Amino acid sequence: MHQRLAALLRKEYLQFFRDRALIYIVLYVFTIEIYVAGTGFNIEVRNYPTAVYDRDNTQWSVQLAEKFRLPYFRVTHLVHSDPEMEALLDQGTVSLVLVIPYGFARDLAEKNHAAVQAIADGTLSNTALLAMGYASQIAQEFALELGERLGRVVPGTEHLGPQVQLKPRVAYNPNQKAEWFASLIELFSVITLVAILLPAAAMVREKERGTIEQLLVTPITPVEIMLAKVISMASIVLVASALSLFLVIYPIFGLPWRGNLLLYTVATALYVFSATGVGLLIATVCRTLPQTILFLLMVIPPILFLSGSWTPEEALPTGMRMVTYLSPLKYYLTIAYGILLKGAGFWQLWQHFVGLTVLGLLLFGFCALRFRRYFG
Amino acid sequence: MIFNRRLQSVFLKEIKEIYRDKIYLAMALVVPVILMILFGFGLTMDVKNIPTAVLDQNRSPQSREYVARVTRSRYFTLENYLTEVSPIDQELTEGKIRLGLIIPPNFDRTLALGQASEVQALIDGAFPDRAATIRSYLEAINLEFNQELTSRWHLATGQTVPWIEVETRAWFNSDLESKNFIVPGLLVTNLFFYPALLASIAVVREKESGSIFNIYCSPIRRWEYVTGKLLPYWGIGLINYVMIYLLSDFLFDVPFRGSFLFLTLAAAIYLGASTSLGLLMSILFKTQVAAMLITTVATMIPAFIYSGFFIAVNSMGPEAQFMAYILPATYFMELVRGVYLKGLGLQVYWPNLLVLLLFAAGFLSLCIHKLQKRVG
Amino acid sequence: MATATLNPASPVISVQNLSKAYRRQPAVREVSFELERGEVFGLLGPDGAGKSSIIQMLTGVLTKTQGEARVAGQDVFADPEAVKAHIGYMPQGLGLNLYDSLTVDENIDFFGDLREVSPSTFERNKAELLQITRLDKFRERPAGQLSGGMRQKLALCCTLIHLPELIFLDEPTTGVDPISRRDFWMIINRLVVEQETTVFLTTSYLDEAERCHRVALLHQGRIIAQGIPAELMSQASTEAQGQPRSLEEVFIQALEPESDAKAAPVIPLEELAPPLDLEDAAPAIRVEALTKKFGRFTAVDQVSFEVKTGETFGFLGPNGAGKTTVIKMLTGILPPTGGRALIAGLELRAARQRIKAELGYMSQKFSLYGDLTVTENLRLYGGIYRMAAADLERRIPEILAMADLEGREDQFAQGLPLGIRQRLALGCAILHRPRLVFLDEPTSGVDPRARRKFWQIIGQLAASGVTILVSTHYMDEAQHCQRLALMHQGRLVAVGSPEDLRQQAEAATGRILDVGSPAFREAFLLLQEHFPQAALHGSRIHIPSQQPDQDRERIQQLLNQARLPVAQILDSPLSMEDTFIHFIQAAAPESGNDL
Ligand SMILES: Nc1ncnc2c1ncn2[C@@H]1O[C@H](COP(=O)(O)OP(=O)(O)OP(=O)(O)O)[C@@H](O)[C@H]1O
Ligand SMILES: [Mg+2]
Repeated sequence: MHQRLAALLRKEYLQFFRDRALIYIVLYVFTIEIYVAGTGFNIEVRNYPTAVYDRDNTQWSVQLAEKFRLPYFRVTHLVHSDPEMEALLDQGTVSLVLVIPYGFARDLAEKNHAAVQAIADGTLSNTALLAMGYASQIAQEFALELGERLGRVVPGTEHLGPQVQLKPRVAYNPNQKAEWFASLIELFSVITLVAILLPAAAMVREKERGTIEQLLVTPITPVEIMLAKVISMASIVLVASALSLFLVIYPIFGLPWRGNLLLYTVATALYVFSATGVGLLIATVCRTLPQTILFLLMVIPPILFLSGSWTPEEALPTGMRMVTYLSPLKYYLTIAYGILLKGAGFWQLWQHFVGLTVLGLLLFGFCALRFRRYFG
Repeated sequence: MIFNRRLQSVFLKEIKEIYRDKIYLAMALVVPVILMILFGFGLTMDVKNIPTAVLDQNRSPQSREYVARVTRSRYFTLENYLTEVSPIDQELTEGKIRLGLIIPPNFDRTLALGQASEVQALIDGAFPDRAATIRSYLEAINLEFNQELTSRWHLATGQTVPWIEVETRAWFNSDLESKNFIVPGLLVTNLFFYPALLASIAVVREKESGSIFNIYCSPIRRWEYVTGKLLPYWGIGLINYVMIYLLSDFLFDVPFRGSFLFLTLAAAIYLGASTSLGLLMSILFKTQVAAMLITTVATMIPAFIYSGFFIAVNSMGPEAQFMAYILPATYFMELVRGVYLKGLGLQVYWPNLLVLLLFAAGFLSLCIHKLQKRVG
Repeated sequence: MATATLNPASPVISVQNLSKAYRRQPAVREVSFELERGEVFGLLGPDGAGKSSIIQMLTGVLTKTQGEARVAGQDVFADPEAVKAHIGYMPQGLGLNLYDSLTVDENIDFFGDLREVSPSTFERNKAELLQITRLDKFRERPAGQLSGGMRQKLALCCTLIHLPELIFLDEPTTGVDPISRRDFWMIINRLVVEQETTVFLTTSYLDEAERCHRVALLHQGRIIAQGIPAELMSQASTEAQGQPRSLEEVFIQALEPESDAKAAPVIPLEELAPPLDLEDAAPAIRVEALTKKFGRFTAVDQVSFEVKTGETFGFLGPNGAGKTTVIKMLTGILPPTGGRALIAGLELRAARQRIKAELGYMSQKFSLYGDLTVTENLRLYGGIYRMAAADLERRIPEILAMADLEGREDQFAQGLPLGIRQRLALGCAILHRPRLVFLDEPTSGVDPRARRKFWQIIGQLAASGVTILVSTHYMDEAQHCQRLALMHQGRLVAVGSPEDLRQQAEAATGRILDVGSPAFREAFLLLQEHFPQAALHGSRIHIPSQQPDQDRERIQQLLNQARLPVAQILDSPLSMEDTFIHFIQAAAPESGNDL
């Protein structure tokens, strides 16, 4: 068993390292791609392109408009008519228009209460929501400031009356650095992609080229062929992910050293094995590479995007939520974030470890079954 | 189209090969629908039902009312109502909750004295976008609570504080449903990576099998071969487009305000760009595995991350913005959402159309240029 | 379409000092030759001599390093596209350029459209080519499900569909059965006679080379001899060895002085150690009513035979007869539909796992790892069979020497010339010293010298008690098997020792009149009308006859009337090829009509 496995492993590594293009691609995705993706987002509202439509045109209205400033809002246009405003929103030139109605200052002075409108481009609803929230806060702060200036309110909170002061503390990522999230998500995505794709392709290639026929005649067992593929591909992915962690994510994005890296490695190994299991399973079902690609297309994007990376589990309909339990990434994501960002230990994550292991074993068992059937 | 027999022969041959492989054919048509359904229901950016734990050290009617305000909203779900000091941190680490609210022991008494009471909110920062949204929701609820408190208190004490109300309105997507931007967005992302991946092995496959020799030593022109290879996948893409469109309308009820004809024209050009991008990889690489991997990496993840699918391009970092601008999907994304939600057409989006046309033409001519009718 | 008209006076191909090097490794060195219109030119040479490189340069798909070549009046290197309209090119390998999922019909249609053949010409050519190659019954079958030889024939149809002026064929008859090879030469002859087509081909069947107008012998990238086959033969006879009987001997003699001193001398097969006495050996393989159905098609129909331990058992049969299918069932790659097979007395299913280590298999289609080097492939199989490291270290050089692979240890398998790849495959199959070896057309595409060596190895294996089941289309090789099985259309039509079979056939058909003529192409076409069983062997015409004396006169008469010269008419015993054809025709008379 040892010697045969070793011979097969050697073969797998040789074949992988022979394909120069493949090596470069793998290196690229595990380093540069992760760097770019890490700088990619700022999901928070920043530089929100804004226009002001001041129909009141008083000192106060101008002062209010001035409060809309960087880093949240970038006022680029002052509009003077409805059609102008519509055109700006239509073309997506601005995403928010602050409309200060005629009589704003008068209402404020007389009734102590005035209304303004924030019209947002709802196309990207999540950012629109945030922007609207900021707009409300800015208006409220301005009102307080005005009250103090007018002497209606004496500065100092006690005199404001009763108030709940919300002290939000964002745990694990206090400055809400999107790079951490983004680069880690990208790393997990890339691991998933490569770990599923490589073994599937390598396996189907053997079928297509007929090399498997020669193997069938030898005393190799199906499990050995499977193990050789899994071990080789998984180890390559593991090394590559270590590369991106130590070359990109820790040094460049300054991810704090929190968790137990050994535990993380174990989790990653577990995950990569399950993912290669998914790939091999697909390969046993497909006869040709084009078929394999379609299968992969059906499986990979949902795993990547529905495992809780982009969509919170709690926001999914129940049916969908059940489906995500089949995705190994779901468990891995919780574990990896838990360890790397939150510094969690095994006992805090053991359920997810169990989930990942069980799923991985199921995948492998199923895979071995299919292999055995194929090898008759 | 000019009747060209050589081109037609390649085209027909490709169609027949696709048609012969019934599994492939069926999957080529069904997979985008499956993806669409999974993503349409599964991918939501609405942050709701956030699992929340509350540590209420006050246990007064007022503190309960405060908690109720938070948990009654559709955004938060009460997971755990604790009255004693407890491992809220721990639960956050384990990923059981995303928000922990801590209400101080003397909450009601402080408020009754007309003073400010601090409520701590512990937000899971692993996902910065969600953290920001949670925070903004929480602040909105808090603001409302405070306004009621103050107005009651002002009534009692006769003080007047100016109050500016911000009436928010979202255009184009008045209910701010993420589905309305996710579903049209999926049209863009899926029509990017899907046809590209199908085309990504079209030529390299013939290189590996040896049938490319027929092309090398026949008088067929390079453009004829490239076009003949491209058209079938482009056609599949168009069928997928129609199916996705129908799903968006009938299954997901996304408002469609623009012209179907214009959208179809744009989609046809866009598909030209994505298909020829895939084909280009197929021409550039020597092995199917490499071509397939690079195409996945170059299309699948970028389509979601840099195209503006989740995050507006203008709030990205410079590197990511650069990626966005070299990605055809970005231009189509703007156009599609505009057509769907804003009902705009050619007069606004002709530059996008032009850019897409340039991409398609550019990729296509690269394909023709890079195809060598030579071995080695 | 092409506008350049060919000037009949100027050569169709003219090559001057053409050289090609791959990464500074010379493959073709300063080659010069010319081809006239209507000429059949054969390029011969050992595996890896540079034949394919020359063809690829002439067809405009490979760049040169130096020199000049004009094809159909155009400079190939300056304007390769202009040449491509005039030519047809069939690459080497078993129909590698076919589209597996397309049917026979659709493959041909594709080539017709690609070459813009006018519909009427196309229909006629297609019907004719399919009929001659006997593929017309399989028009609806996907190319991927054809047998190796059938694929090769289909590829040939595809290349000829547009009746090119100039045809390049790289080992066109590799893996093609003797009957179909005859048909192939009929097509070529007809094209040359009727349309003045020019044919440039490479082949490892030297009897075929004798049918060429001119041949060139390529060795290590250089042309070492060039001329009319008969002249080459007579030139060679002036040298020490005496009159060679065939071009094959000329070939081997020409290479001998240059061959490596290290390489073991080629021992004539007759001098090999005598095979074991098998009188009461236990059967190694026993097949009972073995059947394989693909859908409704029966590929192997109730086949029963027995192979004794230590026997060399030959498997013959036309393309698509089911040889590969039987071998695949015996190796356990394909599950049988019916019947049973016993290996070493054990039921195949049960025995398989146990005897796998004792089994060697070389498949018809190359199935080693192309992206591994020669040694890496060998090491892989050594590891798979758990050979001890020290043993492997000893064995690998042995195999390398045996297969003449020295100096190529670090080359990738996919870049190897076809014949050398076959040798590597054989090496991998016998590396672990199996007791039972299945060889599916091991010598297809292998040059004559290496083929002799192959058989030497097979002889040695047999002498050491290894059981060998080998399929082949080379009739001279069949003679070296102890027993032969002849298959046709899935059935076993004859089993016996070569001599038994030959005598049976001779009893049925009579002896052979062997007609030699300088104008053998024309003579053959003429004689065929009167003797439907006439066949070309090399440049000689074989006519089976029950009344030799009467027929001899009639032949003489016919040829004289047509003013065709006659060199000699000999009365000779049935050859192995004649025997083969006899049995096949007897089994299915309808398929013999068009011979
Ligand atoms: N997978 C398959 N599906 C359908 N038919 C098949 C399949 N494989 C082989 N055949 C058919 O079975 C028949 C026997 O094929 P086989 O490969 O055994 O022939 P062979 O005797 O080895 O021929 P050759 O000399 O050309 O190698 C052929 O008609 C072939 O088309
Ligand atoms: Mg065969």
